[in-house]
Amino acid sequence: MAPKLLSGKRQKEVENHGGDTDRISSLPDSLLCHILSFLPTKTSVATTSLVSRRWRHLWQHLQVFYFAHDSDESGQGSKMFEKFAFFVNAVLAFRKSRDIRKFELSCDIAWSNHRCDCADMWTRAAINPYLEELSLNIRDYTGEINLLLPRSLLNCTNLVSLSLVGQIKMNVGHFGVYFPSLKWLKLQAEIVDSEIVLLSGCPVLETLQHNFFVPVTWAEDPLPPSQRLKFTDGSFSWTFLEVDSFGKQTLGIIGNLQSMVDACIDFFPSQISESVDPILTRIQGSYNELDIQLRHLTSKVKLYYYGKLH
Amino acid sequence: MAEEVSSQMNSLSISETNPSSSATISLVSGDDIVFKVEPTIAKEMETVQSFIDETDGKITTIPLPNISSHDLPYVIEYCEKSIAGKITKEFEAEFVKKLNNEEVKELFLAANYLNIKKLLDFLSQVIADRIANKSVEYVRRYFGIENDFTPEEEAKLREELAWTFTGVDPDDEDEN
Repeated sequence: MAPKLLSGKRQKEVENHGGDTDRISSLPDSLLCHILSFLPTKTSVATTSLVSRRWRHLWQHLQVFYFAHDSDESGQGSKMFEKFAFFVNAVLAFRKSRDIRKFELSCDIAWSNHRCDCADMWTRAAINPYLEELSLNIRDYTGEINLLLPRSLLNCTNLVSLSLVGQIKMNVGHFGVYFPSLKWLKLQAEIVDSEIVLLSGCPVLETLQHNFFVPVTWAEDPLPPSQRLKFTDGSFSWTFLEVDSFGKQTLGIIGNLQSMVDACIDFFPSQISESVDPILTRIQGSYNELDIQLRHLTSKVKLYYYGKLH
Repeated sequence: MAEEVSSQMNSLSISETNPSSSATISLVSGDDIVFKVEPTIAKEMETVQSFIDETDGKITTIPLPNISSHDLPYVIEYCEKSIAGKITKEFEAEFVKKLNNEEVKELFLAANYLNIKKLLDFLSQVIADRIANKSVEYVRRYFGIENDFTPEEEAKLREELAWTFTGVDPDDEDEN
């Protein structure tokens, strides 16, 4: 460690406590919790709670939770999931702070005896007016079940970041959506019944990561003849791209270009993006500030490809 | 007090001065080294900015007794990058590579004191990364925390956690 210049005050502190490290201990609980909130929740609970008496209950004040359960191939899937579920339930039950600011859940619900029930329950626990970031990655290797997100999610007006991946369904079509703070959205295809309704309820969206592989959702929506839809908010508009190779089908979303700084669109398979590239280049030309990345994720086709194309 | 410090400014200043700007802010480290920064940098440091605001901008020399001249340049560097919108993963990786554990903790305290949210979050992440998947003993050493559990208590707690969270975390403990 490089030698340090210490002020008189600091020098005294070092002498008194035998090291700078104690200055960390003298921090308020809220700051220690801040550090813990960057750790996987199981580390905060199982490791740092054993550090000292003071650290024993720190995790109970966490407002940020990361729960991840990787399915394994050992044939113990169901048993392991039970333990994981037990852990998540225990943490959510024993926490002292009722307000969750950030919640990440990643698991394969096929292993759960009750399938969607626990994922649904945990999501409901996370939903509260203070929720700022929600990331759900729900897998089901059987491909049979979907987690239907509760409508109460639509009341999370402080949501800044939302990531929905996997076997999730969210109905927004008939409810009206308004996420006035949402800046970052990652959305896998076919999760939301109407992307248009969802996106039009996100007036300050800055980053959109959307991947879709079947343009059917879009094609089925009756669209006005104009390629641009203006919504009531004057600063907000959606552009629909027409791609000739699909006949008259409308494909794609590039929207809210005025405030968007980054749009990330994944197309499957690659031949789709080849036909879209020139259009994106044109958009990029007229919106210099916008960083559009087009990603060719052909490797994912196997995983997500539903066989509706070609 | 302000005049006293500013009179030391010329002799002690080690950062580049901008002759055209009279509004430069002088940050005085705990060991009395003066760092001259642009007002935009000060804006990143909420503690400094609120000090300036409270005095209607009349006072431009800010003593920072809790921050050493060793740490302050790192803080300023980060703020400069932040203003320029150049906080990238690459920059952060390079930035943190230069820092040992003690320095990370010092900077964390500095970021907290100066109320720079981005830097505080970044350093929290760095600290979290450095203690993730480590043993309880390692975490204690890292933070310099004395174990105030009796051996019996600790054994009991470990047993309790093992029961409550079986299968969730035993591997980490065994590995380390």
